[in-house]
Amino acid sequence: MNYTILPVGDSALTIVFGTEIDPETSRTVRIARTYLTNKEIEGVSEYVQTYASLMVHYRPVVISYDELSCRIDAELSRMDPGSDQMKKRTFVIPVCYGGEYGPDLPTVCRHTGLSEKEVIRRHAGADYLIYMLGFMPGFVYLGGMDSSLSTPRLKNPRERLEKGSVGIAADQTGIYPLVSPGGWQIIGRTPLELYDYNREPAILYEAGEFIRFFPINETEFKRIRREVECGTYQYEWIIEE
Amino acid sequence: MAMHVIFPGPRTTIQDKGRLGYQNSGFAPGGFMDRVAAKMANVLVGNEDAEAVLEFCLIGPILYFDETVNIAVSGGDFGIDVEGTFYPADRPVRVPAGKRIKITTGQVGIYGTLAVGGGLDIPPVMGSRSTNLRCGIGGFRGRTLAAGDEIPLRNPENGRKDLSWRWVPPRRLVSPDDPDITRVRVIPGSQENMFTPKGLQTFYDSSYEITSHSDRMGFRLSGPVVESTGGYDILSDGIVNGSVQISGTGQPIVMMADRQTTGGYAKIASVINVDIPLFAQLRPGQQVQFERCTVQEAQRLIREQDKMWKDHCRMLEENSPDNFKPFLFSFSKEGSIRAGGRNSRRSGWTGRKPRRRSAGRKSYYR
Repeated sequence: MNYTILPVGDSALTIVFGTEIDPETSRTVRIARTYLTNKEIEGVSEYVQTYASLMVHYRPVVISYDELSCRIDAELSRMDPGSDQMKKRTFVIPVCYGGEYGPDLPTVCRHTGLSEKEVIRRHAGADYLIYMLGFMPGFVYLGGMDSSLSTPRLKNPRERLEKGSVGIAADQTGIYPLVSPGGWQIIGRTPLELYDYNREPAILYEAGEFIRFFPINETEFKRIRREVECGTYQYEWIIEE
Repeated sequence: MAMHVIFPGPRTTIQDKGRLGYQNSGFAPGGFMDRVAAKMANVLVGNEDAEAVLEFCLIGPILYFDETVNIAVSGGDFGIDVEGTFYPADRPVRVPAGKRIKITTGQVGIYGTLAVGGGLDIPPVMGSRSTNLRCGIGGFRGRTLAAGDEIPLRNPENGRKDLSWRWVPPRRLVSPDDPDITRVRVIPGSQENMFTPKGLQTFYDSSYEITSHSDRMGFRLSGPVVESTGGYDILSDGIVNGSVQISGTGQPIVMMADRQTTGGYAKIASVINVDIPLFAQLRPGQQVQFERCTVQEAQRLIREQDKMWKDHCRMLEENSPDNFKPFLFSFSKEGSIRAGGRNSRRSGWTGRKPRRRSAGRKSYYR
């Protein structure tokens, strides 16, 4: 396992495992994050997983950069990157595609030459790896979209995308957990609250897990929305050995 | 038992030390823009240093309290006008119930802090009272303050204490050597190899202007283009408070408290922690020049500052009106709390009280 440790300012460092977007690199980053988190190194405040690196935030009054980088080297030399016992966890997100919830579905069809039904089948037919979260609370950077769905961003970004909007931007797909401006082609919307500060945890998924989209109709959308608002909705996870 | 907002100021929010531990879920911590100012104002009025405060941007609020309270402002050349009587920053002011208080703005500093003795009775959200405007959480109803807001006080008993004998020497936010350019130290970034030698030289040899497109998320700078070896885009990775990104136009953006947690622009450097409060106080139009610093030196400064801060807090606690001696730390030209020299505690400050009112606020700060 190759990596480089570099300072990022005086209160964080980064462990760089690679330079590409790649499921294997991502898996190594996740294993290192879990492994180091369990070591409870004094002075470390949090770990942030990104595509190919792991950022470690720490308190320099407790541990210096030189001490911490040595400690991480020592810990990682004892880590077995093949010993991944974690089960594949997939979070199921119901999505109502098209219509008022997915105003850009016709654009995606025109650009890809596929029918609406086929776009939905392909979009909902894959498990997407969560490479990282960032940009806004709960926003996922996903990998694994069928390349035939690739559609460029809108030329003029919208001032307001509703929360739960599911979209495509070039080779990426993603969901907006909050109301935001944005230039993604919106093909559907989920009734789930992906981020809720009153819930524990506020954000349900993390990097290294998977997301699967499940097509629903408008009636189901409204039913699930009511259940989410009442707090009775059962979030669905698929856990595989 | 509340603070009443008559006029809020354009961008006044409640902030504390930030919402820590959620960056892996995409939450930036937020929190104080100028940590030194907020901690200073808090301990002057007898609060814990991480207590939630009002943070205003250039224009402060007009308020009254329906209870006698101690308040303090810090963060720059701000003052407190209590129905015509003026008090400077960096000392506690006991304000009688019902008196109208106006925060005045001077020549220096932009993010002011107003601490209220006993604290504001605001429920923490995800471990913090900081306002996160993007999510609409924390602070007072997740938003900037508005006229008519009534924010309850947590411990108004504090107002019975007379703390007005306390003061600290004012912080210098402008270098006496070169008042026009503020020097800020940075640690070179992990993506320095994205820039040409010429680009790096441009970055360190030029001064950059703070533009008006600057806020709690980041400060956009304007100056000579920093040349890259081939574009400015990287595989998105983590961002810290003070990360200096070079955007697609070759101009620096310094990421601040309400930044994104990750980003895809190359990072040339990061502002060192002890200089962030100083940098945060630069107004649009002011110039900054970056200087290289090692991580070891930056961390030595943090530990030194931490020790001096703890000594300062202890002295404030131990002193009383009869034998008050302010803790005589000095402020570096960079405006951060740090030891000014071996004998700075004895010789750095003569123990004079800061002159009140018409002492000429200019000389007060230089």
